[in-house]
Amino acid sequence: MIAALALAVGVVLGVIFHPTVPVGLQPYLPIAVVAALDAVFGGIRAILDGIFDDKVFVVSFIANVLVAALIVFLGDQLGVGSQLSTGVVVVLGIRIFSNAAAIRRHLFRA
Amino acid sequence: MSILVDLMAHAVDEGYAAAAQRKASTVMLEPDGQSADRDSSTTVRGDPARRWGRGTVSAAIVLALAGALFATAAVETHRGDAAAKRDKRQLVQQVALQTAAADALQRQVASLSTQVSKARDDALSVTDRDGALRAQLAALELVDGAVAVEGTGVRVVLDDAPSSHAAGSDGSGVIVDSDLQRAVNGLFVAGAQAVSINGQRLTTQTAIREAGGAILVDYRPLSPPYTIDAIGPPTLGADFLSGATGELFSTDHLLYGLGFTVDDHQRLTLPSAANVVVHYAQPLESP
Repeated sequence: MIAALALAVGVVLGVIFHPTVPVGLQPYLPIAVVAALDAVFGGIRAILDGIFDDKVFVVSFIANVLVAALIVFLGDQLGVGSQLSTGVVVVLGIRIFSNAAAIRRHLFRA
Repeated sequence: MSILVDLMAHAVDEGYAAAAQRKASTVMLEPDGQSADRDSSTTVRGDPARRWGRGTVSAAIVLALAGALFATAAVETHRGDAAAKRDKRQLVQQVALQTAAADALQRQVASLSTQVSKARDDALSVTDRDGALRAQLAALELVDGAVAVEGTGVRVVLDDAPSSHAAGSDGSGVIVDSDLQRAVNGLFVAGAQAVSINGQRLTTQTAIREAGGAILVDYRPLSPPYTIDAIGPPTLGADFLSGATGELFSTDHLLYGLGFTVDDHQRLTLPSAANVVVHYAQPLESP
């Protein structure tokens, strides 16, 4: 409940203030979004599994976003930025999918 | 393969399982006894309750951050959309504006050249008493497209096949510059004396060519359908259709659905060519 509320508040704040992303950070925004989605879905699944832990969620969220951005940054410096972003998106996408599937099983028992 | 399997199996962060295990073991390690029930219940109720405060708040903050991140990304994406759309609109407006300006200049050129020829006729009327020179001039102007002309003729309309605009089309059925060249040549072969494409009068110097998918006639981009007006003898239409070019287009019309119509017109008016400038050729020196 609180989580959904916090998420909604964040969305509203983002829409109202739409902070300008510095040009240098713009390439990392999509990756950060995918990493954040992964952390959120992982958290929801953990709640449904009954093993949710605030600290793990906070740490995994921040670490996910930072590591994903770092990988892409590193790739950009080495000239394989787009390939590595694809890799990150594929890996996180698979995780999001299987977490979503687990959540679905929990909610609908199917 | 094993990487993918691993990903599927450990989709949820392993930290959650580890934390849950730690919690379970803390409960297990509580001193045994009658108070174990009460102790564990206070642990479950009391300890997390204390952490509810800090942990929940930090989780809520992070979630709010995630929401803001999503919203920012969405806003950023759509802002780019809007900017691109605005840029495109501005470009289109600019093109329309400049085309209108060019058209206005064209009209100015036309009216000025009428004045010039009038002034020239006035000047000639002094020296050229019998009008032979003026008659020769008029005949030459008629041929080289310097004056607007009218007469019987045909209107040939060429258009891209409707299927050529469908997705995945291989580009067959699209009118290209060489088609227009062929049509114009076919009309001249059939006896045409003056030809215009979409209102652009052709002269001996007019180029029909293609640039970036658009056909340029006299360096002006045209868009389909292409209307070719030709003035010539009454048999022009029939001769054109029975000629090699006409038959080719008829075949393309049947095979690819290319738009191809030929209509006879009793009275066609062709504009004068925009500017006929001869740079290199000079009239013969009178002997």
